[in-house]
Amino acid sequence: MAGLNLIEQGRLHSPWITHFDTGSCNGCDIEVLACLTPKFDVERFGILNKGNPKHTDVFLVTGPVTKRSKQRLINLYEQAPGPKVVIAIGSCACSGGVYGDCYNVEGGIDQILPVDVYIPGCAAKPEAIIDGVVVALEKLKNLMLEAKK
Amino acid sequence: MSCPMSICASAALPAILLLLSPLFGGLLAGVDRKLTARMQNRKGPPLTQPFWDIFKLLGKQSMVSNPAQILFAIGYLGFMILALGVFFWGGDLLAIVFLTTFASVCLVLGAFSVRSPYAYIGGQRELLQLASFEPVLIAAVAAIYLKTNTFLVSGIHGGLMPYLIPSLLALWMVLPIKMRKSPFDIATAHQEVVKGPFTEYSGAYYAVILVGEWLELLLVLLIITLFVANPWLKVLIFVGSLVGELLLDNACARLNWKWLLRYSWAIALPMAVIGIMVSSDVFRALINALSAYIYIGG
Ligand code: SF4
Repeated sequence: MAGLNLIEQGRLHSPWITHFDTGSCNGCDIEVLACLTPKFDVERFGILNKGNPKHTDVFLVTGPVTKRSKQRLINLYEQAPGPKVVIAIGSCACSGGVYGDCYNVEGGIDQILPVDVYIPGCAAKPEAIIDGVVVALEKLKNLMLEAKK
Repeated sequence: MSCPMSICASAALPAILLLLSPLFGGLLAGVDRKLTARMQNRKGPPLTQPFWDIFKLLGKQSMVSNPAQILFAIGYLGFMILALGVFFWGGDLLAIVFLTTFASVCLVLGAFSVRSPYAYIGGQRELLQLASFEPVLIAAVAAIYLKTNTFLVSGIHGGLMPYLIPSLLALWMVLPIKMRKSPFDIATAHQEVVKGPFTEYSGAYYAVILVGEWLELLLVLLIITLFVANPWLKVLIFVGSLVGELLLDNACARLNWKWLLRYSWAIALPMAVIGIMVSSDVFRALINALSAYIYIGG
């Protein structure tokens, strides 16, 4: 990884995640947790599930944003120190999905937060989720390289 | 006095060891994560992973809840470095115990300085861990003193083993408490109190805390190596303690704080007291008198 200093390389090597459910049916949440099991073992890439916004680099959000969870989502996002990425997991998180037109739903995550990567699927497969994190890191790397120019 | 060179050399070696200790502590943490992963049938992160974590944390945006928090984070690391320094320079074991206690107290004060309920609960649990671990450690140090007549690390030489076995056993019993590992990871219980006393630390200050934790692990394992004399045995006991601890960590679920106190005060502490008794001269004199009495009586 030419051109990146140790801190910037560290960002690519150690993405700690926090997973937040804004009101999903729990399908996508189970797939997120499946990534942490021995079968998929995301700790290979230094990914740790921290469950603490203050230690978060990658924010995994599942489910449509309900009116009730909206403020909590914003609070959690603001508590995370930058640089951070937001990944929307599942059709619901991308657009509201099957719940899109419900009276209590605001829509996808991107109505509230700037989303960096969308992972479609109902539910999103663990492989797709890992791929999404890799794409997010690629994006971060390119951003850091561009900032150098 | 006759040879200033040798004095220089004897001061330089501990300094080098102290400088290298974060490197070594980080590798220990890496081995910890790798072995844990292998025990769970996973591939696990590379050995250098803890260093990447530190680099990343150093580059995070700074978000502090209050200035006191920074002071306590640095205090934790500072006291740990001091304690390790005292160890490498062959200083006083009792001073090392008190310095590590100060370090843990810094952690607790840091947890109490913020308003997060998770940090609060974590701080209180950290105090409980301290109350469970510290008496046993002090008793073990006292037993070493009774055998060697010195508290100086440099004055402790081999041949302690048979009399100090109970103390060593007691230390092994409380090792998971000090390492904050299952079944006694109650202070930093993840998924329960988020990260306990560390919850409100972020970025560079969390990195400081993490390095402090590495040094703490290194120091405790080094104190355990004092019990044996042979260098190979030292290495064996160092590695053995770590691996045994990880096995226990992976085999156990978390117990609650009541179990922690029951276990440490009802099992580990009496064991440590037996350790003191066995290594004291008074005790041996008593045994001799008793056996003489039985002999005469019989
Ligand atoms: S995308 Fe499908 S599985 Fe995921 S939260 Fe929505 S409905 Fe559930």
